[in-house]
Amino acid sequence: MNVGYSYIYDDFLSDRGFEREVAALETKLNTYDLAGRIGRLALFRSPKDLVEGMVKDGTKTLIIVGNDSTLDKVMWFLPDLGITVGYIPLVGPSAIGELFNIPVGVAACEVITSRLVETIDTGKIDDRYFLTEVSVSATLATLDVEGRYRISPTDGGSLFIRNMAAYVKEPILQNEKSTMGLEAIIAAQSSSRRGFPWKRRKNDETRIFFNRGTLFSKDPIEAKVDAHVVSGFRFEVESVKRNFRFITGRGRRLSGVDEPLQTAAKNDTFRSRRKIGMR
Amino acid sequence: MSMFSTKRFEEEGAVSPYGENGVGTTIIAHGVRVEGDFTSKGDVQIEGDVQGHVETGGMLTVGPQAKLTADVRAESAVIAGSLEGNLTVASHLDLKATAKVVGDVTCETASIESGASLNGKVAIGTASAPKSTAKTRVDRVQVEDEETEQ
Repeated sequence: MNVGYSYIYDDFLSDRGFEREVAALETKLNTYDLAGRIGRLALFRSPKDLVEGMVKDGTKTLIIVGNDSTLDKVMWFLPDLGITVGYIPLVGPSAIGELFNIPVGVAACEVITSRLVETIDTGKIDDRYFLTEVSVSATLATLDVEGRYRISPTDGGSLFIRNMAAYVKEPILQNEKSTMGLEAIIAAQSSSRRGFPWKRRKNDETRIFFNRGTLFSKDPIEAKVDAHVVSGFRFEVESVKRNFRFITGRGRRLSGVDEPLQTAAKNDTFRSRRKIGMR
Repeated sequence: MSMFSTKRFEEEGAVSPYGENGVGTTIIAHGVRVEGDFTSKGDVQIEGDVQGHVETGGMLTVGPQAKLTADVRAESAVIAGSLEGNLTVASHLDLKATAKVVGDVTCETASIESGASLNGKVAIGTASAPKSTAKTRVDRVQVEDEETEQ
């Protein structure tokens, strides 16, 4: 057993239907000498207490096993723990897996054993970290950017604050530019009604870059953060630079190893495996 | 084939949100209002409403539907919409036929299309000293006036 490694299994992996996948995973991890302590998420067990206990016991690398929802359950506090995090999306589809070039299923063990660690920025909404984006639909909410200016849709619209990529609904997977911080996208009501989404031009949407801001509204805001929903009247949003060490797939890594990839990244780093690319 | 390809942009005519220097192009689209001091290092494209102050180290593009009530500073600018406020451009200013500018304009060089409306003091060739209202150097203005050409 590798004492530096610990694993968080999602609750649903206890079902009999996943016995075979879990057994195959554990066999593979044993082959690579990566087996470690296993903690299981459960309905009345705090994920934060579970992970903090593991870190206290010497865990240096925590591997999340499950699906994107599993990662979402622990993502909100992980950057504060100063550990390296890996992800095995045992069940697909996985937008996060695709974003970081991590294959679904047991094949993700190859990524873990390769151990290409990237230190990435995370977003923070109030006291919770997020990896991908905050989305608010049909809103008149205003975004105050660093106390300098306020931006809002005049007749309502959808608002997205992206740290790294669109989550599930968008066909685009976008690599982050780490110096940019957060990216706010507002699809105003007038533009969101116009034609088919894939025929809309990019400049139909408002797009600004910022590091810190406040999202507020007179009406309650229901915001989807990664894969969970939070509600309130006012949220502080910020970009936290290079605070999350994440094990990524080989194609994901953009700096330090591969010159052609760096060159491509300097040009434009959009990538998509799906047929529909840009809107 | 590289996973990170720019070919998709060229093929589909999509607009990359990132400029040549890696700084994103800021877009204020139609149906969005901005109030306050709006600053950006990269290019800025405005199609919506802006009140306050706009400053960019890159190129400012003001679309025909845009309404700005703001003092504006930019490295270069293409104005096709409505602007109320002083406009200071470090290099080249391009006023399109649909442009309506009410305010003082300072720039290094300028081209003004026929039909553009400009109401205010104009200082061309003095962008490095925007406070000065030196005489206009007409020889640097490229007026693209169809009637004149005929």
